[in-house]
Amino acid sequence: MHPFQYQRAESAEQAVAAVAPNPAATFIAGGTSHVDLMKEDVHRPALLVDVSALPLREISAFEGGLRIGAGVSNTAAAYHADVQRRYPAVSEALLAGASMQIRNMATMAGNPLQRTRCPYFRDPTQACNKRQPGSGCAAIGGYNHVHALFGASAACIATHPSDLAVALSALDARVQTLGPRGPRTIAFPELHRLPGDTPHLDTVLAHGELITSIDLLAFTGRSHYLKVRERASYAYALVSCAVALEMSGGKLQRVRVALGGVAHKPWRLPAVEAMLAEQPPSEKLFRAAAQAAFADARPLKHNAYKVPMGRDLLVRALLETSGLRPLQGPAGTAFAASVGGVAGQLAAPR
Amino acid sequence: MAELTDLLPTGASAPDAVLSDGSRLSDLRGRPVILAFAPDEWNPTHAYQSEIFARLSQEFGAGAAFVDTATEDWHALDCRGTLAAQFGVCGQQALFLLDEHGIVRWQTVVGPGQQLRAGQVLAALQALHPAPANGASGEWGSGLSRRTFVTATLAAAALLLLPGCSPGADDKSAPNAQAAARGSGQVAVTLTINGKTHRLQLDPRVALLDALREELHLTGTKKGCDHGQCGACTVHLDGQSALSCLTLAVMAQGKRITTIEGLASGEELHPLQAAFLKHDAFQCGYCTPGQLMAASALLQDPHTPAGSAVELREALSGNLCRCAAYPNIIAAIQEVQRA
Amino acid sequence: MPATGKPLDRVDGRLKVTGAARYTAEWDVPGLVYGAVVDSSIAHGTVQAIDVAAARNAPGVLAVLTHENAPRLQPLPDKVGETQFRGEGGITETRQPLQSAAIEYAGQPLAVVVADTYERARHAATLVRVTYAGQAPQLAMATASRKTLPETFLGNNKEKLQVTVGNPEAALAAAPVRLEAVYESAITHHNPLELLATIARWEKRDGADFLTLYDTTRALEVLQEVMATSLALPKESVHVICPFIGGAFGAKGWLYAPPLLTAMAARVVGRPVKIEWRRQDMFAVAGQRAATRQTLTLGATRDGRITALRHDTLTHSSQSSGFTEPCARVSRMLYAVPNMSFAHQLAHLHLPSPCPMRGPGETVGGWALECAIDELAAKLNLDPVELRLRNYAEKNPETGKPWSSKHLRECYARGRQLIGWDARNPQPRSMREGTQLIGYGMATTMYPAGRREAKARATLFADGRALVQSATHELGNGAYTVFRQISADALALPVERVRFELGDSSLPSAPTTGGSTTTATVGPAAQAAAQAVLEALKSLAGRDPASPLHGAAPEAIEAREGRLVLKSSPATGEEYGAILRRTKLPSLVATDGAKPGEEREKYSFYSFGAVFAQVRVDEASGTLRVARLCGVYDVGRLMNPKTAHSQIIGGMAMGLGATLMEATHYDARTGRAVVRNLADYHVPSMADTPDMQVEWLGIPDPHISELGARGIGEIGCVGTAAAITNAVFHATGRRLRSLPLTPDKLVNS
Repeated sequence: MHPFQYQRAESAEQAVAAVAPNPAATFIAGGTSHVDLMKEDVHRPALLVDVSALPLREISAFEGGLRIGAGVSNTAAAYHADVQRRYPAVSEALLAGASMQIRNMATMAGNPLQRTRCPYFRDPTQACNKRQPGSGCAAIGGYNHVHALFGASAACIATHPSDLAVALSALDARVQTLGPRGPRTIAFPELHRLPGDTPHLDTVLAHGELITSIDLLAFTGRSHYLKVRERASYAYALVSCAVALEMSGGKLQRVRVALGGVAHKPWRLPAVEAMLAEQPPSEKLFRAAAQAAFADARPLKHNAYKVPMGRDLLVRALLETSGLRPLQGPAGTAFAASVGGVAGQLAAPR
Repeated sequence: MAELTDLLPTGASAPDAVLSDGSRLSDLRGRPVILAFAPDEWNPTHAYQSEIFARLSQEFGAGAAFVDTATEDWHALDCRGTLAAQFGVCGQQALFLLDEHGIVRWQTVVGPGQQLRAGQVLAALQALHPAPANGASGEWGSGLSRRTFVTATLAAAALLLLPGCSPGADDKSAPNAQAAARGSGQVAVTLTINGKTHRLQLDPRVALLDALREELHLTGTKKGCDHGQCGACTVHLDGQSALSCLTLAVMAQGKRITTIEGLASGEELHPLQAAFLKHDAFQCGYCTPGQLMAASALLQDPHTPAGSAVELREALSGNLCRCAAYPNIIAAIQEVQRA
Repeated sequence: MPATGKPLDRVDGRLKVTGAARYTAEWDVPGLVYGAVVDSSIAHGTVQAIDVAAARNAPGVLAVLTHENAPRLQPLPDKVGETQFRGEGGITETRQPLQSAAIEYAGQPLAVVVADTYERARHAATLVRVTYAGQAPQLAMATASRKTLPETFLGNNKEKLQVTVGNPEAALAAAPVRLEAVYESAITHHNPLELLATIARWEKRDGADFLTLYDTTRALEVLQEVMATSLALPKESVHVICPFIGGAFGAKGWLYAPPLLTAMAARVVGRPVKIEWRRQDMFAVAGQRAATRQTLTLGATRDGRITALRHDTLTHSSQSSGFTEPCARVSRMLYAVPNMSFAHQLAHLHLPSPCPMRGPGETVGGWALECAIDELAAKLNLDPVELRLRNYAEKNPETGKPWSSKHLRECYARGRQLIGWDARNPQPRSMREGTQLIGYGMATTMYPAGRREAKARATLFADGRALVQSATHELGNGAYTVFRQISADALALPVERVRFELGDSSLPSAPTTGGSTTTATVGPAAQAAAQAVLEALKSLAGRDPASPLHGAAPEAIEAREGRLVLKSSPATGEEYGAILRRTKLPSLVATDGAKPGEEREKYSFYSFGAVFAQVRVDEASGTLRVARLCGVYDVGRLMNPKTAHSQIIGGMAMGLGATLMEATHYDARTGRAVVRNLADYHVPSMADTPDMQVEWLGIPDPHISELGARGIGEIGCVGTAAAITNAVFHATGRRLRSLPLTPDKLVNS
């Protein structure tokens, strides 16, 4: 780990003022992603500004929705009664991610800012434009099992690993920030970037811009999150899907869909959303939508499995959210989100 | 932590007593004596004891034939016995160093799960009888040669079981001495661990896990991956389970830190510890402290009403056990939940 | 009441649940400093230049060792004990660390930085700059330029790797039913939770160099010999200590770069050094199970009699190890097949060295065989259990020797009851619940019942307690507990009054803990030592005029409940302690040993079992979950049913991991591990592990030893993979012949 100076911020303003002018400075809160990458020698900050003690740990009513402070832990948010009841996709995404310990530590602002699981990014001996701009991308011709189907570039094929971000994208959440030039609001789907030729930038946040809250807008519809992984729990998504939809008169009204594990950011599907609007829900419709959703997928050598997996997951998520098929577990829990469930559970032959 | 108020203090005169071999403690007057109180339970630290003896030998007179004594004679002074009570020990593991006049010159109490460190015993012995400046094996101020000292100590080796201890509360000696040698780049870090306050000088890069294991020798908290991928390093921060490998020590200041060493109440195991034992909820034991810390936090957590085996499997999936004692872990937790 | 056979709680359990059990990296050695390793980012080539200036000048750095300045080492021995080290079929990597500029795999240690703190050592390691002269690495078995046909496994002439029995070619040509299938398994890693670690301390004892080594080893004596040979020391000048191992599963025994690097670093800086390896490093230096490509060819009659069996394996090792995954271990003995052939081809790649991993050969070789048998059953339209019964081997088909003890039929019968085998619909793809397909599968399991030589020391104390010691290992196998039970019975004392110690090379010799041999090996040694000390006590009593046993010949005296008594008059006698106290002896010590005899030539020693699995497959997402696992085992007499149950379910779960999720991938161009942490290398979590129903027959093996106990460390792992894979076939109707069965392979495409 590179040597650094440590400083505990007393206020958001002070934190921003400490980080903004120093290109080698960075915020730290839960530390679950940051310390991991510092130990890997991937992150090498010279100044760590600790924002974990800032008064950003409230969940409050806000314009008919909820304002979740940036420093609220993933656990606190996931089990918050209003989050679980009104935005089950958020609780499901959180609880189907990481482990109890990590959820206790990780914050709501930090979670969507975690960095890719691309193995080449995490190994400083390998070429990676995201870690070291201009060094090349070892993943393109390498082992690209967990990499992107959509929106990749010749510089980077990494995917974004956060479950929470996929749910927040589908819910059109808003991100409040405080930056060197003052506060601003960012629509969540705009927070993350595609890699292009600057893959070292994951988000549109300026250096020294601090997320202060995540705002969930007023929403009376249903939301749901589904995740496929290689282990029954405590594993990153191979593919995931969040759906937020409203229904009226037997028809879908507004439908928002985001896929995880397939792109450098939560992958919203505007064409599919348009295709579903004002339609009566049916498996046939959803299958057609899924077909359309993956029409322009660009599979790599080792990730083509994500196409059929993603298509079916999208169908399933739409079926379950619209009520055509029951959830696999109680809404707002990991059991609703985890495709396949945990081991055991069957007894007598049928 | 057990109360220390009744412990026979430094400077006090040691009470006399009959030892397990029939001799009297006062018979040993005229030479320094180490008295070690330990529960009369087995600890397979034969090698560890030999190690401490070897260090003592190296420092105080090479070649003293005492390792065999230690090997063959593992009788302890029972920490619940009469003599223990006279020293104010009452169930704790403790170590006393008496000088040749029978005066307590140094003592320490060992918390459950903590371990004695050779360096600490050596430091105490050194303080009692500083080595001559030329480093030669000469006569000491008391008139005892180093060789005599070792022999005398080992005459009392029937008493000498060293089950382990760690720095006492607010111990400033060992870690800080080391830190001083490391020079600049250190920051003052105050950690509250198992109810004790520890003031350390640390490199800000030190993870809480490494502070526990390397600085404070609280080695019950395990390093399995160092990257938040196995759960072996789980501790409680303000009552919630957290990974000490991904927590910088400097960021853990002001939090209540509980480690596996603080889970039991003195000699009495936490119900989960007892249930783990009963249900054989481990094999190699390396993930076990993390499993216990995660499970004990879960049982206190109002958020997660994990009751069924399925819920427990999901809630505790962050603690990997390569021996796969999982079904037994679940059985142990469910037994405690029912109780 | 004997202590053996009782479900005693682990005697080291309290230490483990309180965090007081001391593992290698936890020894507090005064003056300790820390080593951090720089590894190779390329797999093949040489170090052209290595710039250590920045690291050497970093704060707290004491030394940087590279191939240019590291102490020279002597070559490893050719053999240690009966185990072949070098050459094709040998067990270890013969390359010694930091002795040359050559690079043979990515992740190979190239430098050690020693500093006063862990953080400073790790940081300084990142400052070392290596310039490589790279060459194209060979990373694929199929195209490897150096392929060999090793003759034996570890130099054991009784385990030849190229074997023909009868005339398999002719039998295959004549067989009315033939089946040929290719099975592939991925590289897997042991990944015990405890990291590899060594603390090395040099000192002068009587003017000579003496090395104390705390090491995560399950091979105390082998390590002692390896270190002594490599460092040109007398064996007695190396002391190895390891009272607790945080899991091994085949690792931590046979690869020596970690302790050698630590010892070299400690020598150079003149202070004790600790190197605790990172999890990332363990994918390079800790050993692995190599990948395999196995071709199974079966010939059978229409009524299901297997007439020919061919099992051809292609596997790989590193450049400097000849270790060969012995995949035919199950095929060669499981069924009564008259014509068989087994071949093992070894490709030498620029990958890290493999080593044994739980069920070496049996786990993946048995998987391939038992899947092929399932395929044959389907082809013959026979129940898979029935096909196995029709080919039941009444004696070892390769050697013709009778089994020491075999009750496999009972295992099949009980296993099918436990899982509800006969209530399933045998038709593939016929059972469904919601979106999930349900399937049942089974497989046979086995494990060789080895036994080796060991010694032990027993000490009786004047207060009536006893201590038994042997240099064996506690790695979760329950050694402290089981050997205390065995010792207590042998000494006729209650377990509370007996202690058993291990984990120190200065104790009486015991072999490496591996191959499921420890109970059968060390148990009899403990018994022998106990017997010897009791004999000494009998003589003492007989000679003592004050003893009620005065004048009695030792043969007339027996030990009973802590007393020596006259056989003819059990009321006449006295407690052990009384004899010692009266004769002013603080203790009485005896050392003795035990080894297998000619029974090994007369019988074929194996454990057996049957594993049944029920799975749920969600084809749309490719997810597979194991709903139930049942295993019934014929493993001889159990010393402790509680610890045995744990060991067996642990083995089954490891087999589950190998089947569902475990795989290490290396970049196909560079050979660098791209799966090198526990987030990407998935071992089963609690959520992946169902309750497992385990039963055993409990029939003592009359020939293995007086204890009648065979080892159980590995048999749980063998068989599970095939049972699950066959259940996936039953669920889906699809044959998946490549481990692990990850969602990408299972998903509908």
